[in-house]
Amino acid sequence: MEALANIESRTVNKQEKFVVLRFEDNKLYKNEMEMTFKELLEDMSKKLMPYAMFLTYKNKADSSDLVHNTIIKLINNKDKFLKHSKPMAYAKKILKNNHVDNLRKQKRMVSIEGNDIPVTNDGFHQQNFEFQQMITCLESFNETDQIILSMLGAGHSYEEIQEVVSDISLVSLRVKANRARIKLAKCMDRKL
Amino acid sequence: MNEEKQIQIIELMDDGATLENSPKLKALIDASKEAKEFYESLLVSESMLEGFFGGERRDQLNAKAKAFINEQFEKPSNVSTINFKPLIGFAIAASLGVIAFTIVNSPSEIVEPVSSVQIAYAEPETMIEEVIEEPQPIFVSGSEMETLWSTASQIANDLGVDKYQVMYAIYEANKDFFVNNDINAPRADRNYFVDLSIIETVDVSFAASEVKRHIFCHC
Repeated sequence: MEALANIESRTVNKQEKFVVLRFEDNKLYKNEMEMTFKELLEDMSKKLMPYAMFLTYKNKADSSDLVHNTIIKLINNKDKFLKHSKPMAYAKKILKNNHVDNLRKQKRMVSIEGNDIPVTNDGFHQQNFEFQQMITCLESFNETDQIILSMLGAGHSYEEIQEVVSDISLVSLRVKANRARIKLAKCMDRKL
Repeated sequence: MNEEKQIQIIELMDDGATLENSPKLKALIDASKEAKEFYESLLVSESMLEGFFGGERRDQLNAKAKAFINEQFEKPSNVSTINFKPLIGFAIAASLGVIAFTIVNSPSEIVEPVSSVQIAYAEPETMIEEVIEEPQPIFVSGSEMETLWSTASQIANDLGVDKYQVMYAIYEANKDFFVNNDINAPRADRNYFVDLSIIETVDVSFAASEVKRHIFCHC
């Protein structure tokens, strides 16, 4: 109970710094600080990069491509993006849809393995083998947990995570985050 | 180990507590074997998360994304500042005008293209140029002729026609050159035109009767 009381008291303090994004006369404000469209895109790319990395963990280049495509789509749909009540959630949706499109395209393409061509660079297995257990665990989690854990790993604050997850209070987010961390620790304990 | 204790451990770790600097955390971990295992698993998972999503890899990707955004904003816009809509509208209108003009001015009978099977080679016909010489008009000078009858008789002989035909033609074509239109009083100062078309067409008997009538009536 004491721990929960600590969480609540800290949440009140965090609420004071609640991120505000609004569109007014073509200017964006965050925590009462003016942000240009370009700055917003940079901010967005930083926040969505961890999730993009997880979605495309097999290839580092793909995560860049995914974020770049998302940026292009956001530039093309600037008005919609800026007028959206939750721009970061909108950007996340575009990123996810992009990823699904890419997967569909890949399915239409003939795989190298299918042609019995030896794979000389298997990307993930060489570079990310040590993370295999963690990735396997993350894959079994829901999208919210995946975003929370990947963003926490990248060093983002709960307020920043809240922008991306959206439709969640800071208290609920922290509870979800703690449970996800416990779940991951237990999962990895079993795997290891 | 219940969830409450697990959350306590996480919260303490978030606040920077370690086994060395936090007796509270140490007490929680030392309380049970499960707590110790959980703490170790948590350390591993947190370290893995940071290793995969953070560090140098994250910085590289963020720098790349930033460079990409700068590139997008620095490159000239694909949208031209020139408004081509009026120009395109004008071009379409002009094209339609040309098409309409072509249709209106096209021949009413559209000549269908002849298929290659239907085309036959025709030998060029040998053209014989026939020069048709127009007869020169005949004028008779009043000063040069002795009498109208003698002149008419001479022309009639040359043309192979009757003299009454020639007389009739001269009188009909030059009535004004006769004093009071009298066929017996031609003027000497005039040139008389001999109309060959009348000579060719007029009937001999008709010409003779008319000439005789003019001679006797003096009209």
